Amino acid sequence: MITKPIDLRADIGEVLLDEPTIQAKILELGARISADHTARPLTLVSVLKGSLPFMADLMRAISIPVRIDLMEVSSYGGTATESSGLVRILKDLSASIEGEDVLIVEDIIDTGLTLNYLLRYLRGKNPRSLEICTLLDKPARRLVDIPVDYIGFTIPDQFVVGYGLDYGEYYRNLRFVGVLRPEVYTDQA
Amino acid sequence: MTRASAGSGAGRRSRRAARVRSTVRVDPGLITPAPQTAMDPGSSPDTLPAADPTPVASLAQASRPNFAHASEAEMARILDFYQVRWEYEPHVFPVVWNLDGAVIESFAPDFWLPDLDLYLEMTTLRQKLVRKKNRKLRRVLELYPDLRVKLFYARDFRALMLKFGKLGLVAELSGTSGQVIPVRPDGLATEIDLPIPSPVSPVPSMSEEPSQP
Repeated sequence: MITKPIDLRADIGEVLLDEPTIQAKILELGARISADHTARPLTLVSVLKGSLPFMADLMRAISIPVRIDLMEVSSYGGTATESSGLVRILKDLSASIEGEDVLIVEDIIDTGLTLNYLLRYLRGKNPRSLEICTLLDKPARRLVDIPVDYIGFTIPDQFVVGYGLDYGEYYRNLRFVGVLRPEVYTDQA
Repeated sequence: MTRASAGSGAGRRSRRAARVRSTVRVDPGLITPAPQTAMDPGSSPDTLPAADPTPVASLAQASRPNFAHASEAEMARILDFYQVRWEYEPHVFPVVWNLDGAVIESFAPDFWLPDLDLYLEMTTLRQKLVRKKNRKLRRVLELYPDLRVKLFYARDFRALMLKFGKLGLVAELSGTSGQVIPVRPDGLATEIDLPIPSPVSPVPSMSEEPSQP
């Protein structure tokens, strides 16, 4: 059972990406995405919950017309869905993406299992194009090779939290990305 | 989720074997197809429904392969969860022959993920023999350069469990404690001296891995 940490910052062993670094990268990504999509509006699809801060900042760094939508996919080990044994769409898109240019906005790609499922699911909705933007890429953990169109940072093989990323649903509200001290999760294992 | 039909499974294995044969320098007859069962999540990328947020297939809990290790069974559950098709030890790749041409050492990756064209080898056991495992993989890739094999170390498995909030299960799913006690033909569990040797290769271990989540 994971207990609520009192001092979030104290549980961080190392700040991997501080707030100015993240924000500068997001401005850069927003400019690139805007330049690459001048002809048509873009639909940003954020994958809850981790990508929420990234989505909020990225959409404001994009200068072309964008629609936004949100999805949530169950994760393996989640108590609500574990009995089913299959990944589930907990929250589906609120509008059709048929014929639209869609950009999936992810917080982190590690194994690629969730994104692989999501891509298959969204392709079935017949978008005109389907691209991926992730703030963090952890290639060392990759099981499913997925071409990613926009990558903010490639990070080392460490367990990171903050800026949307959680451990036991906490730490998402940190304004930076940091490496969680191992004793935090080993104590709670 | 349904088991792949015998016809389609055999066809897939046949196609795969044919593809492997075209790239290797060994007697094609030495590549042994599918000694174990295959699972099909029932929803390939082409058949996954578009508009239904609930996956169509239900997971077949019956007829699972006899996994050699609990970590393999857990990996199978994870792959099932994300609807990634897999087969358990479907192919054996000879790596060492004696002077008579008989195979004396082989490599049988734990999982074959046909849609990803990827073999997955779980090495979550003891650390001492990991160098041997790595050497064997290098030999495999020399002989079969087109193979895509990912070695999944104990640290990878631990990180996966951490990601899914199941770190507490690592101890019982890893190492010697995660090994499945073999069942005698009469159905009774046997007493064993751990570790259990693999049918095709020495049990790997983890001496080269750094400590990771």
